[in-house]
Amino acid sequence: MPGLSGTRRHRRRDLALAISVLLFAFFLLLGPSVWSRPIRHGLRATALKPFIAMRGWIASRQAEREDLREVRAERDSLAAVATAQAVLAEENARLRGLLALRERVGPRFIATQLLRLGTGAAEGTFLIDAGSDDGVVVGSPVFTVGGLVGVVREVSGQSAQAVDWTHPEFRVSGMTADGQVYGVLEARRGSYREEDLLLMTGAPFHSDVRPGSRIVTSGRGEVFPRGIPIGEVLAIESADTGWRKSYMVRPYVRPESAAQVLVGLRDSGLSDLSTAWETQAPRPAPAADSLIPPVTTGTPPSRSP
Amino acid sequence: MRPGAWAVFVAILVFVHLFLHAGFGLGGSAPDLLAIAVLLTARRAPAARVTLLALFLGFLDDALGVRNLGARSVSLGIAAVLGTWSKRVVEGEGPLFVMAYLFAGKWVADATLLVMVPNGLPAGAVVANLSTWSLLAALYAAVAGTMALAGFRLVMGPDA
Repeated sequence: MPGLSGTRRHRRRDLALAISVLLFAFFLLLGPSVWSRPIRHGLRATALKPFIAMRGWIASRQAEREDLREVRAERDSLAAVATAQAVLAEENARLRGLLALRERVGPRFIATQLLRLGTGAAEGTFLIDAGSDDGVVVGSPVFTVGGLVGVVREVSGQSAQAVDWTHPEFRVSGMTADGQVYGVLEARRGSYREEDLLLMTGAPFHSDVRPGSRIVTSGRGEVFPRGIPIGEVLAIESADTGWRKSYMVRPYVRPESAAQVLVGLRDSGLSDLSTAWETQAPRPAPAADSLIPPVTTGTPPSRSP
Repeated sequence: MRPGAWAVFVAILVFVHLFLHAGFGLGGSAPDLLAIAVLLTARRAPAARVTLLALFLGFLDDALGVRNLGARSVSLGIAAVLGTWSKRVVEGEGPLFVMAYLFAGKWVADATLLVMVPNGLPAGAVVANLSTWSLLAALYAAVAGTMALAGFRLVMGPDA
């Protein structure tokens, strides 16, 4: 036992070295994220690479075993919606050009697979198998046909890491579907993961948002496109005080249930997806040949392809 | 004990941990073999060497998330220092002691991490987490670690 049989001086030196290592780790934890990033990327590209690749392989095999037809139909519907929206955006851009307004880049999205790692540090985060080579950037929104899932935080060439709405650092600007009340949504952790909700803060004190009202992204900040469904209001928060109100919101999409997602590419935050989900229009009856099932409680209405 | 045998044992624990947690995405369904590797090594190596191991293994674990590196290293490192100190208090390594030692060490590591890293949990949920899930995770690690050590001794001999 080298550490125990040594002299007192040796033991002190050993302890001092151990404390130095702990302090180094502590400084790294408290320091800016740029200190950690190169080490993290290095480890992911070397020691962890086989395990991440294996996770991707297993996830794709699992996805194939699950209800493939339903998943693909959902993805195709979303791709069709996104494509249709791109056409509308191009038309919009042409009109803006006619009006001598600054031309905006239309919405662009890519369908990709979501990989969830099972370590404690990865809680509230997930990987997607699309990266900067595909046009994914930091801040790209991630969503499914049900609604918002999260936002990209770090990007490498072939993959990206994102946080979902349960992560403590996640924020999104939201509004009621009628555009009357705005607020910022952040995670409100429950005692168990299944109890996690969103809290919409900063709503005006005079606002009266009824339970069941739909909350969508407002497009403020130009990170998330306007009009992506987030969730529905459950109730006013009990701890509400002061001049503003806060509402508890039940998100439409549970992050753990998402497998195939759409990711926004560069400048996708400038677009308006309200029409993609018809968030302000009355809910239409789905066509007989629609790939999207009839809307049930808790799921935002979708546009038929 | 053959030189390097313990290092191979630790490497196997780390590989299996990453295989189950990152590769299969099992999360809490798989035991925390990194904590087991650090805690068992703390009974066999000087504090500086064990904290270096904790630093590296903590980096591996934290690199799969988006938070700054270091949180897991500190929590494992504190458990490691306490583990090296425990050698002066208790010499033997019977199965019951190993189980109790791994249980306590894993719980201390989890508690340190939960308190140190901002996670948005309300205070009540932190206490509930420490008194339920952390205890179950510690028990799971204790059983798995004791079995792993028993397997190692089966291969290397009872004195290993």
